[in-house]
Amino acid sequence: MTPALFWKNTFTETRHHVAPCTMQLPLSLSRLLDLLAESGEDDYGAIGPSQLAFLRTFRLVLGAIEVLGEDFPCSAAVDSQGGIRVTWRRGDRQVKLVCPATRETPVYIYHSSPSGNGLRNEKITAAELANRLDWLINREPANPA
Amino acid sequence: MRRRPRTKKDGSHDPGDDDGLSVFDSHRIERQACIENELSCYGIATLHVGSIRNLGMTVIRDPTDERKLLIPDMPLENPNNARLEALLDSVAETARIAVRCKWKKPQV
Repeated sequence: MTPALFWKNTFTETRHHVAPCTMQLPLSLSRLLDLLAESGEDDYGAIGPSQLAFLRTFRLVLGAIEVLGEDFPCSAAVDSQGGIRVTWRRGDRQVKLVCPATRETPVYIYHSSPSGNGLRNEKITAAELANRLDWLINREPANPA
Repeated sequence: MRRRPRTKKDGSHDPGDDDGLSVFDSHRIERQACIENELSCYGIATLHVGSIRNLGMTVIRDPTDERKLLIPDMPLENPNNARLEALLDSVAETARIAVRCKWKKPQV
């Protein structure tokens, strides 16, 4: 397609229907976005997240919401190097997603309940996070595989 | 959590908390002075020495600052270890939020 034809098709003949925006950003993603309100460093290190940590966290949480079909409010915090720690709690169970600031250290998911705890730091995907969150809310067996 | 050593953007070395997590001793400094000691502060949480020791950790006087205590064996940030994550949870459960604030040291 020539540039002229591309322009004609894209900007002059294509009708763009913009639906009224009624979608509300999931609360967990909104809390991640709030972390971007601060940047720079204080006495103890970074006060805003690194770009890598934010991208990794946002994609994993968004992907987990898509897999589960619902959102679960979380609390998110930035560590001193700009990594992000996200925690979900339900009763006496909790799941933590830890996305460090750099690639040198692995992303991991930690889960705990009165019957035990565990940590996974390989092949962390949105599906894996969704699996842990499913365990958190549905009270399935305490130690998911 | 203890901060890991790092290289700052200006190339200088930040030792982090390699000698231990440094905390103010409530018997030796007022809360407001704690807040104003920092460039920025969002609040104060308190830890009890006995509770920390009950968790198996050590609490010693900071040899470089008599107003402070050090917890040398506090786990590092993002330990990537289930036992240490559980220990951090135990520490957090013993902590109490004493002050909530938003402080930024005025620019001179």
